[in-house]
Amino acid sequence: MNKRLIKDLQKALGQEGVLWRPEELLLYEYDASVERALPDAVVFPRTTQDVVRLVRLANQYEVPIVGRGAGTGLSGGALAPQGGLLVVFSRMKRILEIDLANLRAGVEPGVVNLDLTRAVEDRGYYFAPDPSSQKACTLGGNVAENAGGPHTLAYGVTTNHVLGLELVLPTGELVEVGGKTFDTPGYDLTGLLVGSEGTLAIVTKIIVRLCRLPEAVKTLLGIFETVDDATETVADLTARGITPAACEMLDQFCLGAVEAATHAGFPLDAAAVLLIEVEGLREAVEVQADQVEEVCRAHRAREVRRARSEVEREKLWAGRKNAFGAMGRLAPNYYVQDGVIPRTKLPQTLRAVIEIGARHGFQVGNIFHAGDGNLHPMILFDARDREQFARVVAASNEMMKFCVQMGGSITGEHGVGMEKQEMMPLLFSDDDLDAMARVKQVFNPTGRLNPAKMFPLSKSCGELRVRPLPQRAGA
Amino acid sequence: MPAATDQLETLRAAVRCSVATDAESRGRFSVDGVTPSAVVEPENAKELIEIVRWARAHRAGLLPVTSGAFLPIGNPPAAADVAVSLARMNRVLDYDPGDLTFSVEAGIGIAAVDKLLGEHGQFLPGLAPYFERAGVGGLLAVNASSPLRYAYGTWRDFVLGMRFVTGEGRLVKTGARVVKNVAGYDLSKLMIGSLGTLGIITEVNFKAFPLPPARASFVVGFASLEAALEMRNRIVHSVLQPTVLELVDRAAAQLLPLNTLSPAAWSLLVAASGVEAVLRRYETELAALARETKASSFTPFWREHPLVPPVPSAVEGSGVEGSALWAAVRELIARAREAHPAATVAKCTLPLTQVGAFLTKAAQVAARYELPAAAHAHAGSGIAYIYLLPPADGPDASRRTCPEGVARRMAQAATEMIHAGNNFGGRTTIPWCPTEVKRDVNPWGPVRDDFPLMQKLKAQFDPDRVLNPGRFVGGL
Repeated sequence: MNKRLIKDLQKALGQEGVLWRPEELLLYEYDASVERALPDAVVFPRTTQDVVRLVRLANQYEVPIVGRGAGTGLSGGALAPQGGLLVVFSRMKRILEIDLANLRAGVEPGVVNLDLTRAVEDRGYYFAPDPSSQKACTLGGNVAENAGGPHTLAYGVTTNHVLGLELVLPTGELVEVGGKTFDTPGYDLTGLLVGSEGTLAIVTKIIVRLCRLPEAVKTLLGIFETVDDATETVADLTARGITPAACEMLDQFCLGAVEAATHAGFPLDAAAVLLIEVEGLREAVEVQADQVEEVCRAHRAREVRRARSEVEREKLWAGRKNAFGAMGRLAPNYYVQDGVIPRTKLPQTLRAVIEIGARHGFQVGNIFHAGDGNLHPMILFDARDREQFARVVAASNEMMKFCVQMGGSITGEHGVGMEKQEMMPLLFSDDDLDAMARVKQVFNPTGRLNPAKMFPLSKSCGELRVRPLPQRAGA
Repeated sequence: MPAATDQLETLRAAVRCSVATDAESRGRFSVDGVTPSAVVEPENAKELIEIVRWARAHRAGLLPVTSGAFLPIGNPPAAADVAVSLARMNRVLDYDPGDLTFSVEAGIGIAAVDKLLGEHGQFLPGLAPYFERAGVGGLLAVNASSPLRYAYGTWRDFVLGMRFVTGEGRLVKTGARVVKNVAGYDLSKLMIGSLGTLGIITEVNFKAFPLPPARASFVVGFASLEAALEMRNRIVHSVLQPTVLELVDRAAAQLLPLNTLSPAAWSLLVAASGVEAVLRRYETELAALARETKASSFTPFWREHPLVPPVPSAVEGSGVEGSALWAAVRELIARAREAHPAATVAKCTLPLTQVGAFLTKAAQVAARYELPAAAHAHAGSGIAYIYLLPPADGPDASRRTCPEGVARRMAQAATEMIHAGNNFGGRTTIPWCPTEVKRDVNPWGPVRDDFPLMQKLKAQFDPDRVLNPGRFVGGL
């Protein structure tokens, strides 16, 4: 790394705002994916003007620049595969404005997702998107990835809750898009930016919608003897027009790990459970809970439990939201996938996922947003065994191909990042990718901002490139 | 293209679909005094691509239309040589009721979509004005607003993916047909509300919604705007989750072909859906809120079909007064323009707390210019509409063209509303107005510092400016 650049960075942000010694950088070499990449320096802006200075320095020294929230992303979006500056937003975590009368909040990108809800929940409001990592992940990261979560089934994902952004463009220009109100005239740049994986601009302020907390919540646990019964229940709930606030599935493999870690009371001998939540007015919730129970029973649920207290409910959700962490009990590494399929294709897709895993010699755990058709097959492996990792990648590629064949997508909420760029041609033609490249050309023509992400790196767009092994795979 | 005959010959030679040049066909898509020289009706994306390529080669301007219901929205065209009607691209491509998703060609009418979904107990909440005529492509191009947006959001919230043809004649797919997807940039967002200036939408994938088991509506009359907005605030910040929360003033109510609306100065219109016990709860709580906020009347409507538009088969035998109410409110813009073709409609997007201040200011402005005015708001979403009507005693009240003096007053009033919108933290546009008014007021209001990005996007997707040139924000 250029010594003069480090000096200039320190001049801009102070000594404590810059990490550059190799041992300091190691922490920023990974995120929650299986990828690895070492930045040349990690910088911690405190203000939008700091970000502008950083972008200008990156331009002056012609080095890449990559934004990063809490590093909980699952597709390598916040890694610096070509080195350069990693801009970490942990010091830009102020809630700038809470405007309850207008159901809006303005936040800096480093605000932790759950902290926003914590700031308004005693007054009866909350921020709806709730990624499983919401205790750690930042709203800036949520915007970059268009993050989802269990409750997005009823309330929508991040993009449905973001109305305006302040951006620093790769040129260093500051631009505001959207605003506090709906229907801003002109092209919907806010909608374009959300989910652009930090490849178009660096977001320095976010205007979000706040929602009123529901009056009543009921949490049900449907317990099934077969996986098919559980998936058919989900398809049937959808077909009958019953929309729970959340509808999550955990299979036996995951239940064991989750129960050992959280003691939430999940059954260990069931093939699968559905964690279903209904919300709204008291009267509506009663009826919906009965409907959900009826559908579960129609598909041979062994038992349908209802959480009797808030503590019991929180335990069930803690089990679900900490599930990925619990997997650490079973193997040194896991690789989690993120395919989406039409809900009507859920039973056959889950059977295929399990079969593909078995054929490659893996048992696959499934814990996912069933109501959205958003699968998260989880393959446990040992990254020290490089041959095994290659088989993991082959198996998960096959699963994603199957999802696409079912009319689905290769990612529902984790993003493309470094992980799935070579799979993009499964979904998109050269013309489709070219249209995206033109958008990138408008915002990020030098490609210096978050390089080597989202777009296929291989020359031949039509074919899947064999993905190289990370230097040291594992999480 | 100055309509030269040889140019039309090159068009005929270049495209497979028929090229209509008769006055009647062309006149249907006349906009702001500009009449296209020809109308083409491609049957598929391939034929559409041929048309776009021809336009590029001949530097011609294309006017994309589905039904043409929303054609008056926007600046006068910089060039509208050929109208491209998607009327024949009107097929349902796929419908998976079990997954609550479907896929249609963009030329299909929203009424046909609604009928199909209704047969499966589902619906699409994008039910905007001109329901009987409007095509899906047009609704998306103008991002037409529905009273149901309070509960269900707008098009950007239920479009899952689409295909469109760019100004270079490339067919591009974005998104997918699953309810959750983050693969690649979300170009659907860019297309929705872009007035066809980046691409012509050919196919759209949607999320459908289950029809609620039942619905009840409530009309609450108020003597003052403040009281009506106080009740709105109480609802918005309560645990109640109505599906519709609209506000109309007496003048707007008088535009509707109904006698169900109270003669109050302001009426708050609320709809709720759910099972009987839920609707009873709404009735009790809303009645209490109405009393607390000094409402002058409170009228519940029950026994109605749950959908906003009438679906004849489903409405049979189920008392339709409530449905008629919502159909009428949905069509308010259409009704106003039918009765007053020269009406000027300002739309202002506001923070909830500024709706009252804006409506008050707008009424003052209208009075100052001696223009009768009506007000309507998606009150729960912060969207206000002001209808400036030609003076009733004027000789041209029912004519489409506007006398010079009235047009000038309308333009000045509209300009003040654009300023007022800015002052109250919102943005005003003038979606509907006579051509004469557009000479003195920019229907989109001033551009902001994100405009250069929009220009660059336009240059990437439509470098030769063949798609609806000049009609969108800042002349895009």
